[in-house]
Order: sequence, then structure tokens, then C-alpha cells
Amino acid sequence: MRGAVWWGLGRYAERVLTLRDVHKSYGSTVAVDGLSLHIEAGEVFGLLGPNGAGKSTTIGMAVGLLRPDRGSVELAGLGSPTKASVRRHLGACPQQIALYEQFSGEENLLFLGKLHGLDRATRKRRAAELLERVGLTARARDRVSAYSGGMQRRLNIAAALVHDPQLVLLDEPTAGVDPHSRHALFELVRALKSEGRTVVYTTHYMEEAQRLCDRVGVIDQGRVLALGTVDELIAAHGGQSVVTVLRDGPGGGAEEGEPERIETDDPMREIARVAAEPGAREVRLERPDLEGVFLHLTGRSLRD
Amino acid sequence: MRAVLALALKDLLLLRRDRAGAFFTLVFPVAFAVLFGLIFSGTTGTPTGVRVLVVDEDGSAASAAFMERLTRNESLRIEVIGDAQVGAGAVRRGQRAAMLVLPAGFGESVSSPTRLFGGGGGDEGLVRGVVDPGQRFTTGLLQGAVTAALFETVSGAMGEAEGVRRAAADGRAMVASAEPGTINLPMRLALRGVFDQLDVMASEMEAAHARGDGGDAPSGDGTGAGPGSGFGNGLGVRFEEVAVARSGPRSSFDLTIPQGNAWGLMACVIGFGMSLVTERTRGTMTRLLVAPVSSSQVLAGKAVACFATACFVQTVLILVGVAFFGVRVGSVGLLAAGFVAASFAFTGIMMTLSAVGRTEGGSEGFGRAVLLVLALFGGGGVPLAFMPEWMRQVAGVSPFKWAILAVENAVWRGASAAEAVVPLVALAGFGVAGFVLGVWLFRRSLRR
Ligand SMILES: Nc1ncnc2c1ncn2[C@@H]1O[C@H](COP(=O)(O)OP(=O)(O)OP(=O)(O)O)[C@@H](O)[C@H]1O
Ligand SMILES: [Mg+2]
Repeated sequence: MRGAVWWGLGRYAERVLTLRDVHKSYGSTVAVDGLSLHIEAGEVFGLLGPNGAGKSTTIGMAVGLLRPDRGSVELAGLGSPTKASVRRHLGACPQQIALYEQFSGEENLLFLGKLHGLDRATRKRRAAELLERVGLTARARDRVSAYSGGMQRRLNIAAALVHDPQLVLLDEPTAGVDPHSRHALFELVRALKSEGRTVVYTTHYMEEAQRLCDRVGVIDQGRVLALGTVDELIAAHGGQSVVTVLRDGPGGGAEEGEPERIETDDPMREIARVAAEPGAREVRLERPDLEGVFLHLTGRSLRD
Repeated sequence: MRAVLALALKDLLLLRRDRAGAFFTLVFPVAFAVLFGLIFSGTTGTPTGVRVLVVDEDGSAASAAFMERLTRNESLRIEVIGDAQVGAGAVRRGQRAAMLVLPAGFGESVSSPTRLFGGGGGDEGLVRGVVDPGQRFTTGLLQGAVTAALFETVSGAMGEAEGVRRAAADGRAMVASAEPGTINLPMRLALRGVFDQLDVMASEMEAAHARGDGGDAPSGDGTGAGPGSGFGNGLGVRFEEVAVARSGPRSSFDLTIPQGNAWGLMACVIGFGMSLVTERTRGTMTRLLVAPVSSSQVLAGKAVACFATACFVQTVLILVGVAFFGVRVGSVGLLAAGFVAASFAFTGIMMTLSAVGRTEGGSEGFGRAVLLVLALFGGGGVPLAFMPEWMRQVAGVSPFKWAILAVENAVWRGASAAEAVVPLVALAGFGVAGFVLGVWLFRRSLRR
């Protein structure tokens, strides 16, 4: 019943999940180092960071799997997710495939439904719906061990949704998925959002964060480096746009000359200016992206 | 509780899906019990033969020859003693499977056809046997052995084929000359059958002799013959059953079925212990722990599944024993208590094992090694009953010993109430220790 109250509030309350100054170390390895963030109701929040940044550890604490050494995690109005009753309201998809291989896709979902206390009819209905949603209806009765890696990924996500949670946390759901399946996954995330659910999504692909997320937290070495909408981040940390111009060669012949790179805050004006010059053959525009944001913030590239 | 049951049910289903797991948990223990039961069947307490006492009250050459022939039978282990009273006591206490008494006059009866067939032996039989009624197999075996030995002795006493033929002729003459009314019609017909059989036997002996393979007499089927029809009961053994105060296994299955239990329990420990380790390495543990279940519930689910499987395996084994191999349960209550205690103990051990091993390979190798040694020491290989005393004492450290003993107590060991409680208490101790240690280690390893 508390859950109902919470969701009643959740729709209007700003913050669904709040992490305050959380720390977590494994022995001498500091995985999360004083991280604070909050997730707003109905948004898709991206946690973007390179390997080892502390994304999974953060998610682990957010879903109550790990207890922070310091700091607090709170689901609005419910308290810490280390309590089983609080976890009922969230769905988590671990980074690792976490399924019973000897069970079929359907059996996995039915079992998890049962674990969440759904009655038989609801379980069946949910399982069928989710299998349909992740495109596995035809393989519903096959054992998971016979699924391809991408199919297992999709089922892995479906398994987090069995109990119809309002808050869904997906830890690198697209690892090892082909472009087609990846696209389907994006559609799924968008659908979850359009249903009013809140989604937390970790990735080290900045394209994903850019395409999917309302807000992004860039993290590295267990700290939040920057937080905001994609546009805000780019505006603040992305640096300038780059206009590249290709001109005719010095002899006026067919061979190209050296491309010229022009950094600018107003790329459209630059393009208009360059286009008016004689001999300009081709103009390319590179807008700053999250990759640039990360580079700017850490001096390193997102991917090694 | 519903979550625990859902978890347990999931594990049982997974076990059923896992062919190797199911094999080691159910098929192997049953196969072990049946195979070794069959290999050692008829040995009832010793691996080398049915221990039979013989008392020679006759002291004749014929009785000596009879005993000598009986000794040659490899399935028997003959011990000659002087006092039939003492022998009967040993059988009654279950220390020996049977006793045979050659009464005074045995030699004469054997060498005289008239005494052989014309009564005198009467209800007594030529040899008196005392057997444990529980060992029906032994009775059959003895009947066959005695009949064969008698046959040889009789034909030896009668000399060669000629003697046998003469005996048949004498017998016919005796019957013909008997006063009317002294031998009734069925008896007359039966005796005629006997004499005909003797003639056939004589011919066979001649034929065998001609082939050169000695005077091996055909061994009669002592159990199949009806009363009075030649070397049947009239001539063979008259068995007398004694109520045995149970203190020995009735058959090899009394030993191998409890041993099968031990192997089944071991498979349960390894199977479910491993499944818990697998849940961690494969990440499904994460999935369970983010669901609204606690780590205690996850552990309880495993425990329930392991316990149920252990009870099931033991029950199947005993049912197989009872249905097909003559195992008889002395005390159903004690048996049930033993099953529950053993299942509890090994569930506890499973918990500890699963918490100790972090990796599948490590846990499995470690677990198998330790459990195998414990199982062998505890009587899973060489039965406890055959172990030297010191080893039986040492075996106390093995929970397998207590699991086996608990079943043996309920099946054939005439244990007093106090004695019967010992293994149950020991098993409960193992269980509690295993649970406490296992839960503690598990919690520690999952420290969030
Ligand atoms: N169970 C563990 N034991 C010891 N160290 C760990 C453990 N889990 C994570 N770490 C360490 O904590 C740090 C953060 O790891 P984490 O898994 O949170 O990173 P991540 O951002 O999810 O990386 P990836 O993109 O590779 O999944 C890393 O340095 C990692 O080595
Ligand atoms: Mg990760």
C-alpha cells in the first residue's frame, strides 16, 4: 500500500531516486567516490562513463544490491532499497546475463513473476506481453541456452520488467547486440518512457546517451563530472563546432588542396562565409558531442 | 514463505532438467544399491558365504562325508560345532544364518534304502535345520546344498550305479511285499516314482562314467519336489524356523540400500551446493537479490529443495529395497526420523559447502574430495558392519556413518531406543553446525 502512495506521489514528485554522497570501495579499490545524483520522475537518465568508471557499482547501490560505505540511497517516500519491500518498486537489469539457462524464456519470466508475487493469470499475461515486446515470442518455449547472445540480452531486459516496475535500471543493456536489436532496444526504452516510467540507463556509448537520454551524468573514477541535458553538457563542456573546408588545389586543377579546420561558436555563419568564397569544393560541419564533453572533462577519450 | 517455495520449486525443476545432476542424485544411488546388493547377495553378513553351523550328532563315516561335501559348496561357510543348543542360540541372535544337525542314525539312514524311503525318517527328515525365517534366500540355498550333498552321500554309500539300481529293486520288493493297508495308494505311487528316478539316476551315472567325468550325481532340485517324491523334503532337510532377535543384516541389500542413501545424500549436497555457487557466478543471484526477496529466503529456498530431494531419494531407495529385494523395515517411525535427520544434516552441509566455494570448479573439486573421503570412511564403500572396530570409531566424524546407521537401525539393527537416538542426535548436530556455519559464511560473502 505504501507503494501505491509512493507512486501517487511519484508522478508529481520531482525526485524518484536520490543518491547522496555515496562511497563504495572494494578493498583498496575505490569504485564510487562521493557520488551524488537524483533521478527525476518520468525521465530517461543516462549514466555515461568508460570501463571501470563505477557505473555498475552505482547501479548496485541504487537497487539495494550493495550497501554504500558512506552516504545514502533513497527511493522517494520509501527509504533504502536494501529493504526487500522497497525493491518491489524497481526493476533492474544487470550488466551480466542473469537467466536460468535450463529454463525457457517463458519459464524464466514466469518464475520471476511468481517471485514477485504475481498471480498465475497476471504472470502469464506479463510473460507473453514482454516476450512479444522483445521479439522472442517465437522462441518463448526454447531453452535460454539455445538463444543467441543478443536474444539473451533482450530476455535479460524483459526479466527486469515482469512486475511492471515504475523505475527501471538498465546496466549496459546493449553490450553485444547487433544494430537491429539495438534499435529495437531503443524503441523499448522510449516506450517505457512514454508509459510514464523512469529509466536509468548506463552505457559507455555516447551515441546511445545522446539519442535516448533526457539527462546524462558523465562519471569517471567514481565521481560525477558533469550532469545535465545533452544540450546543456555540450554547451558547457563540448567546446566549439568545427567547420572543415575543402578547396580546389593551388593549380586550379582536379587535385584537392589541404583541408582547413575552422573552430567556431557560430558554425552556420562560418559555412555561409566559406560557401561564398571561390574555389570551395566541400564544407563539413562537426558539432561537439558527448565524446567531446568527456574529452574536455578528462583529457581522455571515452573509449580507451 | 511463498517466495521460498517458488525458489525451491525452481531448483527442483532445474535439477530435473539437469541430466547429470538427476543421474547422480537418483539413478546412481539406486544402481549402486542394487548392483552391490546383487554382487554380495547371499552373503548376509560376510562377503565370503552364508555362515552355517553344523552339528554332527552321528559321528559316522557317512556324516563326515556329508559334511565334507557340504564344505565344498562355495556359497556356504561351514563351521562345525558340538552343541546344537549353542548353535540354535547363535541363529536366534542372528549371528549365523542357519544351523544343520545330523542326528544320530544319519549314517545308517543314508546307507539303507529301506530306512531312506520306508519311513523312520518320517517327519524328522535326515537332517534337521534351524534357520532364520527372514533369510528366505538362505533357506533355499541350504535346501539345494543339503540335497545335493545328500544325493552324493547316498549314492556314495550305495556304491556305483549297480548299488543304486539294487536299492531301487529292493525298494520295489519291499513295497510289493508290504502288508496290505500299511502303504496307501498315494504313497505307493510316490515311491514308485522314487524308484523309477533311482533307475534313471543309475543310468545317468553309468553314462557319466562312460564319458569319464566321474561320479558327479545330478543335484536334485530339493525345493521343487513334493512331499514323498524322492529326494524331497522327506529325505532332505526338515527346516525349523526360529524367531531371530535381529542383530545382523538379513541380506546384502540391508547394507547396500543404506549405502545408496549415503551416495544420494552426497549427490544432493554437491548438486544443490553447486547450484548456489552457479547462481552467483552466472549472475542469477543478483537477479534474485534485486527481486523483493532477502538473502535468507534465497538460502532457505535452496535448503528446502535440498531437503525435499534428500528425503525423496532416501524414500525411493527404501521402497526399491522393500519392493524388490526383501528389505523389511523394522520401525517405520525410526526410519522416517532417520530420513528427516539425515536430510537435515546434509542440507546443512550443503549450505556450508556452497558458501565456502566461490568458483564452480573450486567448490565442486573441494566438495567432492571431502565428501568422498567422508562417505568412504562413513561406510559408503566398505559397509560399517565389515569395518574393524577402530575404524568404526573413527567413522564417527563422518555424517555418512550416522545417516547409514540411522537407516540400519530402523531396518535390521535391533537397536534399543537409546541406541537408536544416537545417530539422530549426531545428524541433528551436523545439520545445526552446517546451517549456522553456512548461513554465516553466505551472509559474509554477500555483505552488501
Ligand atoms: N566485486 C568487485 N571486487 C573488486 N573490485 C571491483 C568489484 N566490482 C567492481 N570493482 C572495481 O570497481 C571499479 C568500478 O567498477 P564498475 O563495475 O562499477 O565499473 P563500470 O563503470 O560498471 O565499468 P564497465 O563499463 O566495465 O562495466 C573498477 O575499478 C572495478 O575494478
Ligand atoms: Mg558495469
